[in-house]
Amino acid sequence: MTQDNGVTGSEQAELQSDEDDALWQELRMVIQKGDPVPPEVLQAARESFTWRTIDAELAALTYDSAVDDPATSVVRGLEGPRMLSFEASELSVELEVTAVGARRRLVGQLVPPQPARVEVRNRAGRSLVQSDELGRFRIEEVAAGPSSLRCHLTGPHGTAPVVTDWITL
Amino acid sequence: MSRYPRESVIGLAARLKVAPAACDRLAAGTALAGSIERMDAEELNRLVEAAAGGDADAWEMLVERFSGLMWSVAGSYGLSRPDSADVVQVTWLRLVEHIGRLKDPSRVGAWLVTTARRECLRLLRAANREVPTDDYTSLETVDPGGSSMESLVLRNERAALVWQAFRQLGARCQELLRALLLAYPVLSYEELASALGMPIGSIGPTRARCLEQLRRKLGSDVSTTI
Repeated sequence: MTQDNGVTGSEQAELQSDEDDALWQELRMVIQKGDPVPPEVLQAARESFTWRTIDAELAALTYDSAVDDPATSVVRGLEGPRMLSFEASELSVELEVTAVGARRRLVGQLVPPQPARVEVRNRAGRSLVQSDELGRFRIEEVAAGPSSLRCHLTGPHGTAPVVTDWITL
Repeated sequence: MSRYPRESVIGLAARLKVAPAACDRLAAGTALAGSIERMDAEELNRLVEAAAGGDADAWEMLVERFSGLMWSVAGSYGLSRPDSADVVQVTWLRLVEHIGRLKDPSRVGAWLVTTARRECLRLLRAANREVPTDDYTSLETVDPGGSSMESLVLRNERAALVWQAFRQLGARCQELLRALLLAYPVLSYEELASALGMPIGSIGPTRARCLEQLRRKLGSDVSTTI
């Protein structure tokens, strides 16, 4: 191979040796035929758009113990809770996720503490709880899978609803 | 499998100011990113902007364009099909919320790959599986209930051998080769490099090394079966 590291993509593509090229084309066919996207995955991707919210502020995922703290997650394994933080301009959501069989228990804290209606959104539907005066909430029996929280703030801080980034519970 | 009547695609293309030449390819509706040429940055900007504004057709075009690539990213980590499906879905759902906030909408493909990849790594860590760090780490292929290989129509013996050999490569190799085969030229080398977390200069050499491994595996398979 005589590929130079500085070449552009199209140049690079043209620099394959003939032998490579035969195997390359073969591999392309095998991969395309061998592993197509299942129709239900495409369908779910299309339907994702129906979750679009236009009235809510996004609380972005800023910390996920399962990604950002691999050492801890290895020690804890699947037994310990997973910790997540989401941040919007005026609200953060701290979330502790515990696996209970195929279900998940969510224990959360709104900061600053305030009462709010907290809704879990996922493919199993929606479930709604009320956080207490200290901003704490707990949701049992949440189905595993991609999920997001929507917080309807009702206290003195109440403004637009806040939705969290989607995560797979 | 035509997904769109060509007329509606042309209408949409006109609305989004997508190059007319792209219409036939879009009308063909293939989900495989590799068979679609790279949209220029401006076209992608318009698509993303339209989707951010609520245009479901624009969203659908993004889904058609990038789902194959994302599915393939999950596949190269050896995730089960349900896990891969979750990775792809949660990544699209994340884009739903972020689509109006992307710093550079023309790089939405790289954003999707990066997000999907991060989710794959999380799943691997959650399962306490070893995360591969080099080309030679062999990640056990998780294949409950028969993924691609068995369920598929790979009647051709040679294709089956190539697929088998490919699945024995390390996760990094699988990921890079899939990405190059499916994503390029939809993503530029630069985007690929950043999405895969590798220096752009190492793409070529790594590709060569991975292909060499594949050739060696094929060679030994052939010699043992003959």
